[in-house]
Amino acid sequence: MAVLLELKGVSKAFGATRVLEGIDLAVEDGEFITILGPSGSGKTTILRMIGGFTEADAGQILLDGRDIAKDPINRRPFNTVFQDYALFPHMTVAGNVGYGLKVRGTAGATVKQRVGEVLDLVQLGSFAARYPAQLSGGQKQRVALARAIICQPRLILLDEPLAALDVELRKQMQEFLKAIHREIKTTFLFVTHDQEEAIAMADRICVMNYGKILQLGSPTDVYYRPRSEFVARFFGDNNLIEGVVGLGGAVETPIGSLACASDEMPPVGAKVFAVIRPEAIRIGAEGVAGQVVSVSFGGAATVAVVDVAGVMVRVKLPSRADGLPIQVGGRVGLSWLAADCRAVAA
Amino acid sequence: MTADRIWHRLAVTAAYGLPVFFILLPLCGFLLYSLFWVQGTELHYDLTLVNYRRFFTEEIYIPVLRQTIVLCLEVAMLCIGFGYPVAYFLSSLKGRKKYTLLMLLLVPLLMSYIIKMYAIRSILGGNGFLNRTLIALGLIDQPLTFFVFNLNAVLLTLSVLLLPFAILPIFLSLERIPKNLLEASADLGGSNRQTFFRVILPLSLPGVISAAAFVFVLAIGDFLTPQMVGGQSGFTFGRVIYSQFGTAFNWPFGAALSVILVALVIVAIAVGTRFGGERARVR
Repeated sequence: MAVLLELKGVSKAFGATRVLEGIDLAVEDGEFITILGPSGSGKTTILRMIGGFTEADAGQILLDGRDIAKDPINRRPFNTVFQDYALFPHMTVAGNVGYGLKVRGTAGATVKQRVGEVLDLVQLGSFAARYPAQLSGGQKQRVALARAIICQPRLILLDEPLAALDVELRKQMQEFLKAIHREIKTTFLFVTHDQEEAIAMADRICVMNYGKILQLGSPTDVYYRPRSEFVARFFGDNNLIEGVVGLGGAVETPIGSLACASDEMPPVGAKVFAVIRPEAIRIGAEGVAGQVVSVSFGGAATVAVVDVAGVMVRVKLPSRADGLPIQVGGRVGLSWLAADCRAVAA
Repeated sequence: MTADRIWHRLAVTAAYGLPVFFILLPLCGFLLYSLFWVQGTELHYDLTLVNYRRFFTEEIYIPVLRQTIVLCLEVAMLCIGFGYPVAYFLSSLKGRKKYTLLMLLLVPLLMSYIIKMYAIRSILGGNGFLNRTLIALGLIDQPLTFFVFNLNAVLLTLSVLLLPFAILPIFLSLERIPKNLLEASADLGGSNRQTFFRVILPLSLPGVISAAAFVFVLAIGDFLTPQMVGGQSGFTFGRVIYSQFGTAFNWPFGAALSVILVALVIVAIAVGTRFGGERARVR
């Protein structure tokens, strides 16, 4: 895929606080890329810089190779879906959606036709005459999306658009956004703090913290192959077992010498974490021996905590109606595939 | 009854009682008084509509009222015209500067009305600041009498006096516009001009209407300003009412004229609340 937008060495500070430090990021044409990070990680600042709402202190923002960092907001071929929708309260749904075309001087008949098309696309065809105050959260969200896609921007920026919706509706909207993305094939840059949302939607996830990009890759990449402690901890309740890199490349931990995969294994003697996802661990007679400390039923999965030589290891097992063959206090063996154990620098 | 409940009772009684006692009852008194009549110097207490008939049949009252309404509408428009840019500028400022300037703007409200009027009179007068400046600039040879002791003077003075009352509601309505709406407009390709005319202006319109209603109501009830700077030709309805109480000693007729003015003010306030303020914002 061709690169649509490229950030090169972008930095930003608000007063003494450095919010972005030398960000390099290439957004590919047509992809659904998610910037994921906790609050304060600088993810929204990146989006606002691309949109033109905030100016970068240093660095370049290249669109098709041309630096647009100094272009005003209204000259950038990007449209934004704002966190709290930012619908114009004094305009109808049709007025809101048609706004981008109207300010460009598009003829009234064309505006009307395009508004109709886009509203059909977001399944709000019959809501054209309503005002934003008469819409539910999910409907407002779809109006905001329709308003952003009507001008056929090169890139659609979505700033935590689902944060205000309840869980059920959020799931629906995730599906819906994906469907729209497949339909219109425009590049989506989606900012969120919700790991599950990022995994469910993105082609690529860019994990950020403290103004830096920690890892960029596919959802399976960042989920199964974390490169840092932060990323390993950020997705789910991973097991991070402290250890040092041994001579043979294995990680020496309190629970034994573990064979770990890694993209770049730290040097011998370096402090590392052996990372094993709880659902990758099997419980049986063989493997690392431990004692079950607790078993908690959590719907689809049951989580058992096993004490292995003083290290608490979480194991996630698929729940069963007739219960699992493990008891608190029972001795069990834990095993996993070598590929499921990763080493990250501590 | 606990002390809390007694306090609650007292507070509720005061909340309803004070306006009834100090506003509604006097107004009803006026209404009643307007139905009495005067012959010579004698007051008759039988109820009649003769005062209202006099208002509608005698030739001077309706033209004065019309002239006053026009004047006050002009005052309202001037105040909006000057107040909007000021309010817009204020709301575009950031942080402490914004509120410091806003406070400075409200300082004139702390000064005595009379003092301000004298000050304005001396500015507008034949030998005043305005005329001397114009002469010094060589724009005129003789002091103009255009600015003082006529309706123009009333118009200018009322506008200057009431300007803060226009700026505040407009400023508040501008402040309430979420900043992300402006970002959304720009994001969708709107220029600053388009953002102003399509988003900011329509969303601040309720504030503008409130401001206009505010200024209009304050201006139309004013009799002191026309009295002091209006001279002979600056005759307004307020002065007519004043003269009925003060010089003609026809209180019932004055009361009738007041009732008519109150009706007018109620209409203005109703228009202001219907199209301005909070309710017009969210449909």
